[in-house]
Amino acid sequence: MNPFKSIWNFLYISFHRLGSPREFYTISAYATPVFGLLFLGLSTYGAYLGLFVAPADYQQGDSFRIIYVHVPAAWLSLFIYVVMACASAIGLIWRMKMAFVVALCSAPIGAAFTFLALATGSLWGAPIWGTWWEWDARLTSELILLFLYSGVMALYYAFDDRRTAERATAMLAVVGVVIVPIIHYSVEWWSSLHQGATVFREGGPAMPANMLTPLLLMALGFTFFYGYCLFHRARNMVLHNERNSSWVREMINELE
Amino acid sequence: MSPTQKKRLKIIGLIVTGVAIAAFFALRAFQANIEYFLTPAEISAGEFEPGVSYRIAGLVQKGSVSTLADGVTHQFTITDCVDDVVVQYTGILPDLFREGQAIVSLGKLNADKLMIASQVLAKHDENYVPTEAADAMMLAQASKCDNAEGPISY
Amino acid sequence: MNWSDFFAMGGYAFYVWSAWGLTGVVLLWQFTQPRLRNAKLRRELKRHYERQKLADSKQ
Repeated sequence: MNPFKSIWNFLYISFHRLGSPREFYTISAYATPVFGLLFLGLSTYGAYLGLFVAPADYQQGDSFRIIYVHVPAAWLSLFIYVVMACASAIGLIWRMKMAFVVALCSAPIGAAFTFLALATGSLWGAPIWGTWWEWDARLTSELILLFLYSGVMALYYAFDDRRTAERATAMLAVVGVVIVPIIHYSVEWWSSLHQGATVFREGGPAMPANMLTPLLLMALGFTFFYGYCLFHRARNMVLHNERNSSWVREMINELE
Repeated sequence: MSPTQKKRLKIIGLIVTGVAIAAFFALRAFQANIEYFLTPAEISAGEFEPGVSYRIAGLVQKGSVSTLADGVTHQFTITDCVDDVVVQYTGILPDLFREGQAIVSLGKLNADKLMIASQVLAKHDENYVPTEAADAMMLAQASKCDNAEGPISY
Repeated sequence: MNWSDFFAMGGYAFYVWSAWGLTGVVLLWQFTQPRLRNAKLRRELKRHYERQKLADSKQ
């Protein structure tokens, strides 16, 4: 059997195993601490480099060190929405319970990162731009993203029937995905106060390696933090959703 | 994928495409309002209404910064290396304000194309440079227009 | 290592430390909240099952 076929089979089987709430619950017990440790390791090292080692910027001085929380938060706010939209689409198309769980549990984490992106951006803009807030294309569209995340969460709790709630919420999540390219390209499509992309641009990152490395480490660390939180929240949701099944009952009664 | 699943995928795809197209047209319609600022070229060409608030963006022209007789009002010229606009501002200028810096100023223009600014913000580009490499960069900053072949855009 | 220079962050101390501090707080909350909910869920489920067992045995 050729190696590609066996890799594909492995992914296919893993995907289906994770699709079962009970299997997910078992697997996540191992995955969660791994994600947590990866987050701690990467972020601690990234923060150390970003705060102590990276040189100050010639224009912005040490204020630019806010980049090491602002940009990873912003990237995660977009990444999480894409994951949420894909999981929602998978749930709608294949009617997969766990897909809806992933989507719904991603929303509060995505909202938290969006809030952080806006708040840290504001703290950065105040001394450097000269204002705490401006209605330019980038900032406004990121704010819309925060409303979308909030809308997804609110919509879910608006319904009594879980299946309807899941489907309506998934639909909103999928449709809202158009905001993601708008946010990313906003600085190119419209004149704005926010500057253009430093990392994801033609010609490569406009930043030397000693400034870029901590940024990538923090972003990777935050991604594992998202995974950690997602699995924790998903486990809670699975316990709640599957509370009438025997495996949950046995597990809860066994523990004390 | 079963036929039902394919059907669901198509429906979702259609809805997302529909929303994307709607968003495209909506944004196009609001283009003029979404544009964050006018350029000095547009001001010079008279494409503005006196007394209405606008934002303009450009570089601070070398040698154009001065303080007026009252001691608190700053006057400077914003340029895109081809056209200029004179701006007056009473207040504290941002930290980053200096010759060659890109700035955005909000204010009203009078018939002589002079802007009385109510807000002056510094706009910085996407480049990050360590302070060690600074002197060459800082010199280049003030003289950005010397090497410009046409209007610089933001 | 000049600590007072480090904390001063070139004059931007308030902004830099507020941004990093806020990030720490939000991440800590994201870490804590699911754990609190998990403990609460277990308690509630346990009570729920006990009540069910009682109701079943009475029949």
